[in-house]
Amino acid sequence: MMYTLSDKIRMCLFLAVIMVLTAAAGYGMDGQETAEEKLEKAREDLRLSLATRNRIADKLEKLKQTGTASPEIIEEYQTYLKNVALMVFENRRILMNMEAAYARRTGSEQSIETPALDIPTDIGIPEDSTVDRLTVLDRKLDDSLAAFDELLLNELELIRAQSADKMRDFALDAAEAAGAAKHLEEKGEPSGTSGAPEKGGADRYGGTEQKKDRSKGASGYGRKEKRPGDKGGTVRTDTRKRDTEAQDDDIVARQLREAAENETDPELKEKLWKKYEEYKNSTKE
Amino acid sequence: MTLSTTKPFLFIAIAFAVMLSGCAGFNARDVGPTPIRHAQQEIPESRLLDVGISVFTSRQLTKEEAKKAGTLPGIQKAENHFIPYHLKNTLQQSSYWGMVRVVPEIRDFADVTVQGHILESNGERLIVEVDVRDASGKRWFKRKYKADLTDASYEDNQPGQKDPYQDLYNTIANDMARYRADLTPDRINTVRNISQLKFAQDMAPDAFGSYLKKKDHGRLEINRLPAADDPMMDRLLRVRERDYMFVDTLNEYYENYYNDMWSPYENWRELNRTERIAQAKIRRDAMIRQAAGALMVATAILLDAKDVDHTGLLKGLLVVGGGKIFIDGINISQQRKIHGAAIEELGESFDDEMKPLVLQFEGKQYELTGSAEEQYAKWRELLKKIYYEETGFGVPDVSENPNHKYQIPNK
Repeated sequence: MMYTLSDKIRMCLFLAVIMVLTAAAGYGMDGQETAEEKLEKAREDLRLSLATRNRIADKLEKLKQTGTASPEIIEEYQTYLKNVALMVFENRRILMNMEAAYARRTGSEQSIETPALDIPTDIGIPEDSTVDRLTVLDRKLDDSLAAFDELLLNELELIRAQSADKMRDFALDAAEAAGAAKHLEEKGEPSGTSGAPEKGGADRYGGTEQKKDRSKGASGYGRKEKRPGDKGGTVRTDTRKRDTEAQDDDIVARQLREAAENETDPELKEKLWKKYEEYKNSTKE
Repeated sequence: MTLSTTKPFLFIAIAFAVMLSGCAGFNARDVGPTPIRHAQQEIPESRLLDVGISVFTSRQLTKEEAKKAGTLPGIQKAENHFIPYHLKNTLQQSSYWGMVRVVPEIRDFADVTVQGHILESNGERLIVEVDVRDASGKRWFKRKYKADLTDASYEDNQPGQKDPYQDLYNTIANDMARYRADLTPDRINTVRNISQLKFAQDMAPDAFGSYLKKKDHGRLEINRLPAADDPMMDRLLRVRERDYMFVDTLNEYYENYYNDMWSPYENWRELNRTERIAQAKIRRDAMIRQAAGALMVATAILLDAKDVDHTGLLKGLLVVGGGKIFIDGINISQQRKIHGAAIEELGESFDDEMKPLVLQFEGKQYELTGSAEEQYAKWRELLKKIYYEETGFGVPDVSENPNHKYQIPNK
């Protein structure tokens, strides 16, 4: 059978399309594994935050039952518990949304592949056939759907970045309360007096009349715009010690550590690491 | 009886009339302590109904009218988003429903739609009217709900979980759950199919225009269903997934808006309520004393107690001069003004705090909605071309049929 030049060109184009699709499928698989890792991390964060919340709730209950803890200590633990409960809520919401988005993305990727691969292998396809035009239109639809997916996934990433800031603020509030409670317990302050250090940030959802500066998180750890050329900066850290400590982090410590690791401003980075270490010390029994 | 003797009685009658006028409640159902009703068993996915709650509406008030009602136009705008979002959270907690989403305007494609109108909201009292329908247009119910707060209402509240008006939200959720529980599996299936076909009809009217029919009572019924392997329906389902994703992304922005609004809104409501209660107490005290004073004067007149010094009785009780009212030496007008100013200041403070959030939220919503609308228009066009390519029908001539209605092909 003799193939004309146009037949050969069509065969090459067909093979090229197959190769591109295979590569795309491979890329999609890689993307799928990364999404799975993200999902697993989100599940782990939720598990950890639930365990932290239960631990603090038990501690608070025991303190109330003893009847010897001062109202100030009880109040600090309540603030601590409230902020961790907010982290549980946020983690649960993130996981739910990620699972839904991932399920849809997996389903849509599978369905996108099917019509595009419905290319007949018969190479004698007339140039202006209905099937060709239909295939082209289907591909345009798929491309448009994929472009929209990209737009929405970018939006979701932005929203999740905002969520990370929120989590950091909850962690800072919780760490403040935990530190203050520990300080009061060690001092053995009687009821009505407080030797607790001055708190930088007030209870976020405590219904205070004070207007909060929402551009900053608790204790002034606000997001700062990245300056051009800003790099991580050098901070004296004992990374080996921190890696070891990281293994038994609860959710508050983990959030503080992640915030410190991701922070690019060296001053803020130092403060966050300091807060992390103070918190770790305050939760040691 | 002369005019001078009837005056006190007139005053008392007016006083009672004024007191009674404060009892208007829009004939709404009073909500008491109400726990949320949870689904006892997990409902299979095929029996779940998705819910779309549209952003609530409220009567447009001038600044003066809003002040009298104990609110401000900016607060009303914020509440129109806050209240439906909290209702969404409550419905999700009940586990009776599939996806529950807040939508920016009435979008008819959900299995169940909820529209709401805020009749009154001032931190002391919330009255909302809620209209719930399914995709066929059948109304489940339209009811008004009213809740008054106490000091205890502001304890242990948490964003997304417990609001001071939680009993009201629970009551709405329970009413919806009760209705849903009475639906047969067939009816649930029909509703789900209708909502899918409505979406299909909107995106590809040429392909799916004949699948639904409207009955005389305005409700939709299924005329026919697409084949199980209909490729056009497959495409529509893929497009619908993107529609879900778009609404979910919008809901993420609603979530952030709701969370950012929580603290200032709760503060405003609680403090506004405190001020309004203080102001109402002063007003009540003033009226009681005025009425008592007038009654005493009237009694004295009737008994013809000639030695009663009318002004002496009132002296020290009530002095009116220069437009101000003093009772027992307290400047009541001044007190009311102070609380009134506090209410106004609270509202403006809340408004100021919300402005950047509102701008950011509206900007993002506008941007995202604009992008989505462009995409939807593109998809409609593509689906139309695909349909005609697939069926071999000729594309209708626009000049003959400017409404682009589907015509029976000549082939």
